Amino acid sequence: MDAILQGFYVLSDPFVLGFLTTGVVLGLLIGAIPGLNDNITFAVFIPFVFGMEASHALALMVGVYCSTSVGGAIPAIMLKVPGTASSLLTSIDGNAMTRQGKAPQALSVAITSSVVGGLTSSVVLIFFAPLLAAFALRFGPAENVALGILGLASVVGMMSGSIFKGLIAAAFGLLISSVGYHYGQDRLTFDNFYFYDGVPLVPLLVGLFGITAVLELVEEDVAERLRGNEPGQRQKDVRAVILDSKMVKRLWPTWLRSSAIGNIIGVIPGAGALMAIYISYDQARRHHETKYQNDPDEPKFGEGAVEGVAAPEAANNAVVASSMVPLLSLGIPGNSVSALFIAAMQIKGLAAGPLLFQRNIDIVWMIILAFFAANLMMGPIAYITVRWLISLIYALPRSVLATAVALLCLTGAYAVESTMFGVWVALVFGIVGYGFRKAGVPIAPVILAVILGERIESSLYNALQLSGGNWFTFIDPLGHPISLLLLVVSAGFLASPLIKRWRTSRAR
Amino acid sequence: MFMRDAVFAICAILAGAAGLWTTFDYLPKARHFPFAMCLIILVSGIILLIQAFRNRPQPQPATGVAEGAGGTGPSTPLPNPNLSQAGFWRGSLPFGAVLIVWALAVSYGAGYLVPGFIAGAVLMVIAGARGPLKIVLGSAAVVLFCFVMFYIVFHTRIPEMPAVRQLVAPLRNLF
Repeated sequence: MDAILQGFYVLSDPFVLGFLTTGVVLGLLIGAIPGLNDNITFAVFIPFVFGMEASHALALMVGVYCSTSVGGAIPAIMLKVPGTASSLLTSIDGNAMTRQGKAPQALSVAITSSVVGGLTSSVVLIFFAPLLAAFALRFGPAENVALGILGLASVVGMMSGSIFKGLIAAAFGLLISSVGYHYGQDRLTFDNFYFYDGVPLVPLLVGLFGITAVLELVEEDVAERLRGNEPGQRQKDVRAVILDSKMVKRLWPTWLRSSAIGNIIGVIPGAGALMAIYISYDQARRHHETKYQNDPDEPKFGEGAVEGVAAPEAANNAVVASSMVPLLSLGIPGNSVSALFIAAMQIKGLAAGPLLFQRNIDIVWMIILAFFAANLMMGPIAYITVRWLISLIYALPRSVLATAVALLCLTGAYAVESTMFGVWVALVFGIVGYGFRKAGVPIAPVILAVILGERIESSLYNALQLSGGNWFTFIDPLGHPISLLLLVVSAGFLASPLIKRWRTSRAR
Repeated sequence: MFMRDAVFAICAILAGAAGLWTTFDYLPKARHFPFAMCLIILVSGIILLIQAFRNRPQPQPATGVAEGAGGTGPSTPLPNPNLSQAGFWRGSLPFGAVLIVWALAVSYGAGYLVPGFIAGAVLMVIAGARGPLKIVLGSAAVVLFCFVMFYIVFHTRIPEMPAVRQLVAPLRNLF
């Protein structure tokens, strides 16, 4: 209880609350601009963390993280262009509602569903993160290795496409984490003095997320112009309306079901928001078809059903806070945004994981309560700002946006160590990230591996030292049952796409 | 798809092989981890290359009717393959090149504001901005925003020339 009060005390600081509110507004704005997302925002923002207090920086990031997906729903509903990937399915029914003249209702359903999803996941975070952290304190080096492997395996195994591309991405990230002077050897430094401390994390993140995204944005815009379309156009005046009690009563089951799906998937590292929204959308479709099968006045799913907006929006916001459960309690980022969150914490000298609950309990509870507060304030702020956001975001030229993000990223990369080395690292990794995206290779495993790499390697050597060089220590059912369990689950994650492919080919 | 996967697989094989070569001479404890990662990259690259060749599209006999060669239905224009590449050649490639030139200019002591303004203007043109006033004002706004946020508000260092630093020193002291 004392810990919660400490967290509440930190959060109640007017500056912290101010940064949290700013983050919510900023997240709505950024999410609403197609092409920008929370990844890019965090990449641009991380260099600023150096000049801020930890509580201020983390409050701002929590605010942005919570509200970006709500912002993303605005262009999805108005233009059928999802502002963020998590609003992909919202665009189907949401835009159909707009074409039927129901844009205010669609926006209101999206906002309310997001708030409900976000609040449930905040409750999950409040109850589960401390429990999991207390359990994780019993972990030794063998369990830490297995946990790191589980984090990577879940990301690699759950992504679509070739598993070998995911493996290359993860191995590449682990290789980057091994750069520098370790174990009496300067590894992969190419005699460059700057590499002796390893590849600097912030320029690397800025490059992989910021520069890569800007290059893709410019490419898309140029191609769009050559097709004769003008990317990003001004919209007419639209506001959100308060949902009536009949609609709230109708949507409650969808909200609860989708929030539950989002929370469960959010806790699994690497599963991500997309999986949650697809499953919840599918569940909502089944229920809708059963319930309104014989109602001729009811729009079909995909043609403007309110459940088609409520389900993905509740699920994508439920993922947000629940993805912080493995991050805060185990030090394993649930997705790429929470990986950037870890980076910001590292910059402020906070090591995510069970020890964080012992050393910085006030900050932990501040973050947890900030998620709850951000979701509470998100509803009213979104209702008030939605009209203003719609008119403002489409007035901002995309060329200015791309240039601003690129220069902010590179200036931020310089500011970290006040050397051009950071700028070159950001540029190189921006080009590498762009190449990865063109080749259909995901960036998330790279960044998770970079963050987990050092921990996996040092824990591996410690575990081997403790067991006298016995590699079977990791799968010893008596000595390390948790490690064995985690490795079995990891193997399951990695094998699942292969089994799925084998089944598909057999069915053919 | 085939070319994309094949090129990536070859890059992975080359990178993995170079990594194995480099890490082979390291001290035993320092070698294991990076060596194993390079091996994973190399082996995964080989598997990916084999998969790419196995899934390579086979050339199909022509089934369509050429324009003006008969056929009664309305002709549908084929997608222009050059257009999908144009975004890269006219967009991301020159954009990336300008960023590299900007970094070189800053590295060689040209300061921050002037190269930033010039690069910003060129970047905006590449990204599709038209109209000289819009470009000049947009670029100036972006560079000044970066400068003010990083150098003046957050007191981080910027590679600016000493004369400009002296000029804005009183402003910086305000924060």
